Amino acid sequence: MMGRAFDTLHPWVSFVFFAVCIAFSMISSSPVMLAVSFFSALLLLFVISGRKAVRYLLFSVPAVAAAAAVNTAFNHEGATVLLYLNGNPITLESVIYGAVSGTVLMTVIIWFACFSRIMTSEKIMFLFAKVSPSLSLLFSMILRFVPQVAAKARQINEAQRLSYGTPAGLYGRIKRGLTVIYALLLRSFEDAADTTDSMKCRGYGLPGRTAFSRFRFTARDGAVLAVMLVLTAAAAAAAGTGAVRSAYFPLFSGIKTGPYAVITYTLYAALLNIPAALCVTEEIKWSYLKSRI
Amino acid sequence: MQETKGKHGRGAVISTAAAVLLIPLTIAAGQFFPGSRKYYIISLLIILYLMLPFFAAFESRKPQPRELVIIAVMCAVAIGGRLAFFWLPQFKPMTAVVILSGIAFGGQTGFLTGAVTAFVSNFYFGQGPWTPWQMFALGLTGLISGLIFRRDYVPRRALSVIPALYGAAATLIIYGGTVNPGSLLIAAGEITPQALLAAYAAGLPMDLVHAAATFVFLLIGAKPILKILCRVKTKYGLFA
Repeated sequence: MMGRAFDTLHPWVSFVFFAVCIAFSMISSSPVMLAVSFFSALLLLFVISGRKAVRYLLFSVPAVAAAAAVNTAFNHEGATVLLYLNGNPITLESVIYGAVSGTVLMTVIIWFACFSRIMTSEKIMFLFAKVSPSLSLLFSMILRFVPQVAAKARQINEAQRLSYGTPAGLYGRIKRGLTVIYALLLRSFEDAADTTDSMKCRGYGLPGRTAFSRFRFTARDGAVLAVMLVLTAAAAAAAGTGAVRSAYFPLFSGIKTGPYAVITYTLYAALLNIPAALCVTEEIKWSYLKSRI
Repeated sequence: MQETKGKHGRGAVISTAAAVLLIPLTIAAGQFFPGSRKYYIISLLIILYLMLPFFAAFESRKPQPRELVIIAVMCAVAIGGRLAFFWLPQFKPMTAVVILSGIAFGGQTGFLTGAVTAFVSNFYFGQGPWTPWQMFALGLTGLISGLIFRRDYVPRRALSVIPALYGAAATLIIYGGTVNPGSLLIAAGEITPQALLAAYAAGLPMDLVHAAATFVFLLIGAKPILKILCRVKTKYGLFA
């Protein structure tokens, strides 16, 4: 898997990265920054999960078109009237703004797709454990119970089918589903009672309990986090000069190309591509080492 | 009904106060934010502030293992229901299970079951910008069901029709009323009365199926499942 270099980072580092990415993508009004974010997300998804990224790219086209159409239908702001439809003005600005909104949505969705692949439930649990131990425990229990409940449901369902046959019709299926749920609930609660007893016996809630964790904050994590924070601060400062601020109404302000704007775009692109760069470097290093064997 | 009444802990008090302070501050600060995407960001932050006190209350009252396990079972069953009925789009028992959890174990537990179920089930169905809205909507459904269905107020024999009616109404009004504007904010960023109406209209078929599912599951299942839950409560001396 090509995404290993990113996957092995400390959960907090990955989490900070995604938080920064998603926040920037939602906040920035500049179409260039948005494009940078969109393609960086797509590149990272491609690095992590290969051809699945293409599906997201293909889905983006109708999604952006739909957002542009919807926005145009309800938003009649803007100075450049393209045509009148049922007496309502269709403006260039609202088409552009709709397309930008649609791209923001797709960008955030693609970042989340990367997020789900890298921030596994184990990592999320680790993050929670520091802030809220009970919620983290609840979270881990649910993740444990879901496959357990599914397996029990299958067993109960089989037993029902063997005793009473396959149910007919929608009503029959719903009724059967409920019968399975009753039995499932009773069984799950009985098992849960055992779990609580065993938790008590092992000293749950007593002081001095430690939590096992697979994750260690290494020098590499520190370096990546430092680079990330410096780039974030620099990009935010450069964007804060107002060089990239774009307006859509009443007139689209166009693509900003001042010196500060270019610096912002560069810093932003560097920030968003840290994980992809890590993975690609690792891959190159690996194939180089392999070639020398 | 809830033993936790009156001892929600310092965490809950602080986070409630913070929410009360932060909401107007966020709205005021958000006005200076350029572009219309501020509406999405402001509403997202408000939703997070509103959910925080519930989680803080849960954490700071140091829940017993029994309570944890019961909530975990309810969430797992709700998620399992969403997984089991994958062959019928939107026709899921998830909301019904959350409502029953609220009725049997009180509003706080109902909220937790709903919010946590929405969060964890999205690990199976996909996390996205919609997750906080779904968490809040389902949590609120569970909270309100816990608040209105104190079993001392509702006669035992009405315990299948009234929850079923509540379930259908809650799905349409609370869930649809939260998730539809949410998706409008996510997709368009701009809220106008017409756009809001269109978002509701677009979501209505889905919401109607969802509401019908909740109604049917509660109508048939409320009484037997509540019996099971109350038996569990008595047997293990939970929330008593």
